[in-house]
Amino acid sequence: MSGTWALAAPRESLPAIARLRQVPGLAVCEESQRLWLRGPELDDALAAALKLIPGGCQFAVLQDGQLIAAGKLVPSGHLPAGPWQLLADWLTLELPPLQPPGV
Amino acid sequence: MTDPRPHLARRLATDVLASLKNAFVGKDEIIDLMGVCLAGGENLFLLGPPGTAKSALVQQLARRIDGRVFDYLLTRFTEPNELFGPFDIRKLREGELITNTEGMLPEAAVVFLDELLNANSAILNSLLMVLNERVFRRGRETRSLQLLMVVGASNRLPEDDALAALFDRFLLRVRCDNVPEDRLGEVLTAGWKLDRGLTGEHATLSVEEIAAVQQLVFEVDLSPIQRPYVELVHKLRQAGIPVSDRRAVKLQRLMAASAALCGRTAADTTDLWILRYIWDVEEQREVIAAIVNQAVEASPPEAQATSHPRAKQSSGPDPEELARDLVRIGQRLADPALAAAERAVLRDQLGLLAGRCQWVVSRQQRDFLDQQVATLWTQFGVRP
Repeated sequence: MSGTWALAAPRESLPAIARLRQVPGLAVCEESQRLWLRGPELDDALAAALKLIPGGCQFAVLQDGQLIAAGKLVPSGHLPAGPWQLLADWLTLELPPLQPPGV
Repeated sequence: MTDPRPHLARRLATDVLASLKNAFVGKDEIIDLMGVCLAGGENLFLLGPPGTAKSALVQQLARRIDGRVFDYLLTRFTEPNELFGPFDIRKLREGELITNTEGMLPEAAVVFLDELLNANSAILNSLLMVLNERVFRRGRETRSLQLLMVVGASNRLPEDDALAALFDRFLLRVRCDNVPEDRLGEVLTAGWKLDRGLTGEHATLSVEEIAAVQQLVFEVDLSPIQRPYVELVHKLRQAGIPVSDRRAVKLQRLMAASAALCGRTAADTTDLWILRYIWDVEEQREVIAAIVNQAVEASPPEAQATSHPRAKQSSGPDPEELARDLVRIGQRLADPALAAAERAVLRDQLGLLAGRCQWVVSRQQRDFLDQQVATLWTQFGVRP
């Protein structure tokens, strides 16, 4: 899976990340303390949504996986090798148990 | 009786500047430059956003030399009265135009002018006199000032000629930014201490003693560096960095100040480090650093042993700045109207930057920059 951007965020940001689970092609990778996101395209709506992820740090990804932090010109670090999973698959939803009205 | 002034110069470095460095986090470079400008009686320009401790640095320095500080934020509407004081009404009744300068700029030892480039034509000429000659002139009134140093600050660089003249009076320029994120905790602790007055900001030198150090600076022997200095200025000019004769002359004072602060009576080639800070635009910073560092590093080991702390560049160059310079060269090369002379200057600059890229600490960043340099060389028709 190739990507043009990536975002690293602390695990505590999961509720904000979960809101993006319906974005097509968005993949996630778990690291010990943080979660990585990456996707093929970054339109204005998605860019705005990414900014709302608390503690998120956005990068441009070069073809060889080098990461350039937003606002910088020189790479620092590499995209994690994986495993990467589609966010929609990785994030399983559980419906709240049904309860009869009035209980 | 032995001359006390060399001892005073050492105390300026060890007591005043070292204590300031303890009080502020990540500001050592600016503090060292303030020290050199104070000893050399020159002016310093700080480029940076608001809230980066520019004013606090000047205030704290003034406290440590028991000097009166005049700190003012210039606007486009600032009038001479606001800086120099109002006309004395009693004297005016007698037909005399005398300025009441009490508590104003003419009575200060250290002056901080924030948003310097807001200066308007009403104050520009008087300000230029103050900066250049340490003289206050208003109408027929002329007065010599006891001013030790002026620090100007702005978050932008001048764009028109009138302001360029003002900017030119600030011999050294340095960036003042927020400290890196990983040191924010230290900043908070240091700021809290500063607010509680726990930083030992008592005066350790007097204004008169600093004035004596300024006199000592004139006695430093500059002859050992005259030839390398001339060569360095030529190299800078060849690389497209304008160094006027006037600035070249004045910079000698700061090199002498660097020597005096290190306890030397003669300057050596390590004192050429001063020239790293003469940039007019940010794009010149890395090119100048590359040329100046070559000259400083060629100093003999015995000179390096007694050099100013700023002469030794412990960290490598800033890869982001190098990348910005490379992008700029690429953009200029893409201009179809680029003159042959400018192309030659850009080629020389690329050669300097290429050499500087080798000193980038991170291997990944060094390789990336090398690749950018190689791409630019091919645009000059050179196979890397």
